[in-house]
Formats: sequence, structure tokens, C-alpha cells
Amino acid sequence: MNNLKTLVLMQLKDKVDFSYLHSVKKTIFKVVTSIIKFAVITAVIWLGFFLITHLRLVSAYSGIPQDFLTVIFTIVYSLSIITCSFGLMKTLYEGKDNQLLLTFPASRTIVFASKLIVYYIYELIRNITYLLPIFVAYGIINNLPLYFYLWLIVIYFVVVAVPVALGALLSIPTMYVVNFIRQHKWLEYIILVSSVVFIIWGLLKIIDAIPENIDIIGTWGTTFWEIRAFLGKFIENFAVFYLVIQSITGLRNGITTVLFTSTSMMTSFVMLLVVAGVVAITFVIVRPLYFHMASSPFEYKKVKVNHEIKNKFHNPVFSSIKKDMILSYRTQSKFYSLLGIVVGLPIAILLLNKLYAAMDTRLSGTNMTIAFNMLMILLIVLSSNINLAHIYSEEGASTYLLKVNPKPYIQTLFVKLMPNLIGITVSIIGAVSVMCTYLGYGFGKSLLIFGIIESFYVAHLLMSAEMDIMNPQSNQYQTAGTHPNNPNDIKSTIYAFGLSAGIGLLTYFLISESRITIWWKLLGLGLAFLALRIWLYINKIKVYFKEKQG
Amino acid sequence: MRKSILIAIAIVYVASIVVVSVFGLKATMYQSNIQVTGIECVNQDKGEIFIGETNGIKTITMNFTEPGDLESLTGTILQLEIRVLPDDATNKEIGFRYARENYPQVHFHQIEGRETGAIAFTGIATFTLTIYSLDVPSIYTQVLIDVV
Repeated sequence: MNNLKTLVLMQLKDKVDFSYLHSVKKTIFKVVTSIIKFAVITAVIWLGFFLITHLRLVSAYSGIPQDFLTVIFTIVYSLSIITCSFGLMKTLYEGKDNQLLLTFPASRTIVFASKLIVYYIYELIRNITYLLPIFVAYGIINNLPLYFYLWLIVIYFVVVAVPVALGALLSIPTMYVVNFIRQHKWLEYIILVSSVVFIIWGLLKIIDAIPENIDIIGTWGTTFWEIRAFLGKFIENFAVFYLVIQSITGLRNGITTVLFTSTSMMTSFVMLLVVAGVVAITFVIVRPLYFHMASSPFEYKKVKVNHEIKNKFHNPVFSSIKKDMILSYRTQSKFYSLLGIVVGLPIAILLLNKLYAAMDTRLSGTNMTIAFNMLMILLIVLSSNINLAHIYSEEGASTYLLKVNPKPYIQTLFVKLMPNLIGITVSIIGAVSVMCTYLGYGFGKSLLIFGIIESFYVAHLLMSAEMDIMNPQSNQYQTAGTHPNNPNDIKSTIYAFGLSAGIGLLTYFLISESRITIWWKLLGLGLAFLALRIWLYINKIKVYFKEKQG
Repeated sequence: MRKSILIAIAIVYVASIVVVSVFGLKATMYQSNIQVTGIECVNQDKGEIFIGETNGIKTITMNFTEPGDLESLTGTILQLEIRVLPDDATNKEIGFRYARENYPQVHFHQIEGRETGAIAFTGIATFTLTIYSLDVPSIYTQVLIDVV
């Protein structure tokens, strides 16, 4: 047992930062900030629930009905199970600490159990700001008695254990699927392309289903009963989740709640049995596999490429662009983030305009829709630049390679921005085309709007990259691999939101003066801003880059 | 992109729809008086409450466990779910009628003098409840409530 405790504490120290426990002051600060964080999240959810109940959106009675809570819970819980499956796959079979842990004088069972316990504790901590606030807000809005919160603390341990237990079991098929895909690149490409196509197709279908004329007030009587019918069908189809909700919150009927019913107690007991059963099966099936996988990581299973690729001479610029494109593709978090924006932006703008088109707006309303279009496009594209505020520093110890590259600094540094620049420009073209189609603008005006957005986008992109040059954070990335409070990221975020809001407001106020000259004015402003940022970017690289540390 | 930034963008996105729908729409005049044409009790089986039909009248049966308390909303309480037709009727107010003097163990929950449809039972009771429209009193439906 002592071995298990030591292993758990060791791994927990790696996963969760407990350094504040050494100082009373820091501990108090941590506890207070955690309570504030929890209270703020709960208050935001409560506010959402309050609006829903006040407007009687999902129920004719005051309070939040259980069927609506079931919908939220089903989504959150399903995501939790998926996250746990992938998380446990990584921690069990691909964890870098496996090689070290297996050399300790402890049995394999103890090492395996310690990994599961650490993951469970981590999930308990994570869900304090994820799952728990939903139920606390539900309890407050429905005036549930004090003993509900006491029960919530008890059942919380069981509710969080279910995804962890299921995730441990599902981690085996997940690992086989992931490894199979890793070994067959063609399959990865097919899955990626078909997923993107399927998601786009699905979203377009949903957007297409939006009625031509939305009159929520006029049709509310019927819409309300359609919502009720949907919620009724939902709890029928997802009865398991509804039962789990009953075990946590009791049975709610209209405005009354019976916290402990025979069904709810039975469900709680079944949940406990499920956790125990799944953990037992996991120990029988997964534990031997864990040792096998942990002692032979997937890297060794990779098929070696035997054929040599001939070294060809390429243009240095295109060669660097190609290298950074490949690098972006291989860094999955970066690639999917970029892909999400490239695909998501035009779809988000399509949905926004479809909704606007379904509204019978007056003149000021139409002006608002134009301003909001500008605001949303800029907000999304400028936010994509936040990642560029650490593009050079994130290479950590390798940052010096940028300085020893036998090419002008400006070329080496700017080329690193190209994957984002190309991807987002394509996305802007799509978003502007959608916006202008709905607004009935011709090609000339569309080109002007594209010019405005592109110039502000490129200006902010250079500004973010320049922040990293002027205040490099490579030391932090070198030691920790990440930097959650990077000052450049924070500054870039503030500029992204500020600029978008400013241009959005300017559009709204200028468009009421003239619908033609406004675009020329904004384009002039954008180009002037871009010229300034280009000048500053080039000159700061020339003057400071070589001298800066990192 | 960080989760917090995504959430902030989502909030601005939703706000951009809400602002236009609240401040940017043309004024619309709706038909001022749509009369009630029907009333339905739409309760379904739920927990210890069972729905049936006797001689064309909907029956709601539930077990009496402990006396219902309207203050704490605990004990034996039945929540009636009523749908007034058409869905866009102007006045959807409803009233409840039964031989009140014969059933002192039946207590209707009220908010600001209006009955909400939640009924607390301090003892067993079997009675027929008439739910009628306040707009057109001749429009009503009957439910047989059986608390055993």
C-alpha cells in the first residue's frame, strides 16, 4: 500500500502543481482564487438557467426541468468518456514516465493501479470547474434543499469514476485504432478528408434547414411544444443518462423534487456496480496489455522507410515554405486549429447571415448586420494570430537555428508565418464571398472588403510576430515546453479583440453616412496600418533580432 | 486557439444575433385576440405517477406516501401539465373546478393567487377535476385523479 501511495503522489506532483502548499500565503491565495473561479463559472451557468427559466423557454413551470439538464449532461458526459479514453490511452501506453515507473520496486499491478488512481484524482479536480458547477447552478435555480449539495458531494465521486472506468476499458480499442492509423498514413488522410467533408456537409444541411422567415414571437406557442416534444424524445432515447441524472438530482415533476426515490437509489447502486465491474474487467484485460505496451512504445513499431529520397536543389524561399507547411501539418494541435479556422470561418459567417436574412430588419438593423459581419470575421482571423505571438520562441532550444540559417533574417522569419497567412487568406476569401453574397454586393465592393480585412489581418499578424521578436520567451518554452501566461499572447489577444471591436464600431457609425465611401475609408485606414506594421517588422528585425537573447 | 478565446468568440457571436433580433427588427403587429378552442392534460407516466383512461376520461393514479407540504414542496404532490389550444391563444389562463368542500385533503399550490397545477395531498383522495379556460369557460377537459 505504501508503494501505491508513493507512486500516486509522485505522479500527481507531475500532473498537478502543488508547489503552493509550501507557503501558507500561496495556499490561501490558491484556495481563494479557486473558490472565486468556481463561483464565477457557477454564476454564469446560473445566469443562463435563470434566463431560460424566466423566459419559460423549456418548461411551463419555474426552474430547470430534468429533461433539459439531461441534454446538457449527455453532451458533457459523452465528451468526458471520449476525453478519458484518449487521455488514458496516452497516459497508460504512451506515458514517458512508464520506463521509469516500471523500474521501481513495485509490482506491475501497483504501477497500473497508481496510473488509474492518478487519472481519477486528476478528473475529480478537473470536473470541479466542469461538471460540478452545472449541478450546483441547477440546485440553486430549482431551490433544492441543503442536503442535495451534501448528496452531490457523495455522488460526485461515483459520477466522475464512471468515465474513468469506461475510458480505461475503451483505451484498448482506442489505442489499436490510433496505432493502426499511425502506421497507415493513407488512412489518416482519408479519415481527415472524409471527416472534414462530413462535418461541412452536416453543418450546411443544418444551416439550410433554417426557415426563410424566423418569427419566434409569432410562432412561440407551437415552437414551445416542439421543444417539449424534442426533450421528451431525447430522454426516451438517452434513458441511461436520464437515470444518472435522477440518481444525482432525484425525480423532478413540475416544480417539485423528490431527491431520493427507489429508481434514483437503484441507479446510484448500479453505477457503483458498473464502476466496480468495469475496473475488475480492466484489471483482467488491460493490465497485462499495459505492461506489454508500456515496455514497447509505438515508436519502435514504425516501419522503416528503406528507399532514399534524392536530394534536390530547390529555391530557398519555397523550400522554407514547404518545410514550415510540413511542420505545421505534423504538429497536430496547430494543424487542426488552423484547419478549424479555415473551414469554420466561412461556415460561421454563412450561419450568421442565414439568420440575419431570416429576420425582417429595419435600416439600422441592416447596418448592424454589416458591422457584425466585419466584427466576427476580424475577431476570428485576428484571434488566429495569437499563436504567432510565440512562433519563434516555441522552438525553445532550437531557436538559435533561425539565427544561423545562411539567409537574410527577414526571409527566415517571415517564411514561418506563411502557413497561417495562406490558410487564413483562403478562409477570408470564403467568408467575404458569403457575406457579400447575402448583402448583395458586387465584385468590386467584395474586393474592397477583402482588402480591408486582409490588410488588418496581415498587420496584426506582423504585430504578433514582432512581439515575439522584441520579447522572446524561448527560455520558458525550452524548460517547460509551454508558457500559459505568455505576455505576448495576452497582448496579441487584447489587440485582436480591440481592433475587431474598433473596426466593427467604425463600420456601424460610418455606414449610416455613406454605403460607398465607407469601404474606401476603411481600406485607406487598413493599408496605412499595414504599411506601418511592415515598416516596424522589417526594421525591428534588422535592428534587434540578432542582439536579442534566445 | 485557447478555450477561453473560443468561449469569448462564441459569446460575441451569440450577442451579435441577439442584438440584431432585439434592436434591429421592424415592428410587427400580431392578431390581438385569438380565442381558446381546446384544453388538454398532457401528463405522462413518470416515476410513481401512472396515466390511464376510464370511460374516455384521462385518469392519473399515484400512491400516497407522506402528506404533501406546499411550503417545502415535498411529500405527495402531483404536478398537472396542461396544454391550451391553439398554441398562440391570447389568454391561456385556466381554472380548476371540483367539489372542494368534500376534499379537505386536497390543496392547490398558488403563486400570487394563481393556481399552478401542483396539488398536494394530505390524505388519499379520488375525484374528478375539471380544467377550464378562463377566456372561454365552456371550453374544458376532465381528469380523474386517484391518489391511493
